[in-house]
Amino acid sequence: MTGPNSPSRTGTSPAKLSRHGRSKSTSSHCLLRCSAREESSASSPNHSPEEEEEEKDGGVLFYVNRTGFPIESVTWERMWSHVAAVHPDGQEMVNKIRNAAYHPKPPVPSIPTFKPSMSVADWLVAIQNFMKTLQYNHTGTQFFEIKKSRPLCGLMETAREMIRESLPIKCLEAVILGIYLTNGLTSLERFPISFKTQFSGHCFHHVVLGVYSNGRYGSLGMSRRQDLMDKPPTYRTLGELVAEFERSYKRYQHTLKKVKIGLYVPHDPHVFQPIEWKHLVLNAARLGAQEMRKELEKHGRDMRMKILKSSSAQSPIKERSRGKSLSPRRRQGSPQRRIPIRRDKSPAPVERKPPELSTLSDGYQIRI
Amino acid sequence: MKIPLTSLFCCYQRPARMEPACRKDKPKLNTTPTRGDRVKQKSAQQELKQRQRAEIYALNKVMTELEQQQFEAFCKQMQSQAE
Repeated sequence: MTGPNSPSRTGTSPAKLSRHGRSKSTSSHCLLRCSAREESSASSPNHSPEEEEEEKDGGVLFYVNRTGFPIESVTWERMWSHVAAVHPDGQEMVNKIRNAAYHPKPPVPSIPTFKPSMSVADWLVAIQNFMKTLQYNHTGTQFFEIKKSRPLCGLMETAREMIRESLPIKCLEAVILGIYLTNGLTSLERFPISFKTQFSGHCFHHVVLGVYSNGRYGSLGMSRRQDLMDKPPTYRTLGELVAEFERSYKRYQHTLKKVKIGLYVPHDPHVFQPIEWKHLVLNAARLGAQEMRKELEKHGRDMRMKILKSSSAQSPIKERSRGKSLSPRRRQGSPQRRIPIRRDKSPAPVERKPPELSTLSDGYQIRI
Repeated sequence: MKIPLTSLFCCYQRPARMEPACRKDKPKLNTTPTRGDRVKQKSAQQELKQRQRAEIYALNKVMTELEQQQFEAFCKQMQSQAE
């Protein structure tokens, strides 16, 4: 989950962000802080739509480790500088940890192993418990770089690295890990669910892994908030699941602005196509609750009937017959063009929360 | 005895003309790390990773507690304001 940082943070500036990238992955996940009002001016016209959206996240200034493990000194020192600036005890807290002669070795959680006797629900619980044991990453430095546009096979390699290194993770990493650990369970379908919410004039982004099995929807994920991550596979429709997330958000005074539903992720971990993150984009501020539910349920039905396919999910060119339609919804034309269904493209009016909320507790923001 | 190439050249300045006799004394150069070096390097990397992991989790514990404290304080403040 990304969101604004506490205003009490000092000592670091965007100028210090650097991109020491491995040739393997070079995402742009150093997000800059901006309010909802600044969103429209944050993007550069030269950026791709995905990069533009990421820059407009209005999120916390957080760092990303791009150079693998062990973490190189620049990234390592940057992490400590950041937490020293954020924590009230500052450098004293940092020194206490770094200068400790001994730290107990944190247990390395065992990878859950699927047994035929396990139900899908039990397997999801095992996976979620594994993720919880890794813990949510509160350090301010993301340890695994996730580029959403990467091919699935590359992201699965990152998932293996997450298991190997066994470090705290955040929401996006949890989605990738969840996909990896549920690969092969063909009775379970997985798809990303992204949320954009607003709190006290700032926008927050979060993502979970929606799951569907045996007529029921649920989710896997990681968040600072217990009720914004995993949900048991008990929801009859996608609309009900999203409504549950919206209710959970309300408990933290977050207003749901947008919901993006992706497509089913293939179970083959060697697939080269990227994950389809936003096949359906719903502007919650403009759509009423009923209309949103209707759209979600329609999308859920279409996914179940396997009508929907992203342009990159189509079979390789050599196998595809020109002019033949594989499904009623498939459009003619370039197969590489992505056609996300966007409802209500016009931006929702930004609701400015009363200033009291943003000034409570020294500007503390309820991050997700 | 094998002498790494880098250590040979870091202080060595070749004369413009080398006497034939000197060539016989020129030691053989080998920059390939030995198996033992590789094992040591790998072991050192593993140790560093383990230490980093331990520190990360110690830090994460502190930062998680901070987040929880801030959240609770925020909720209390909201509640008192509502009242």
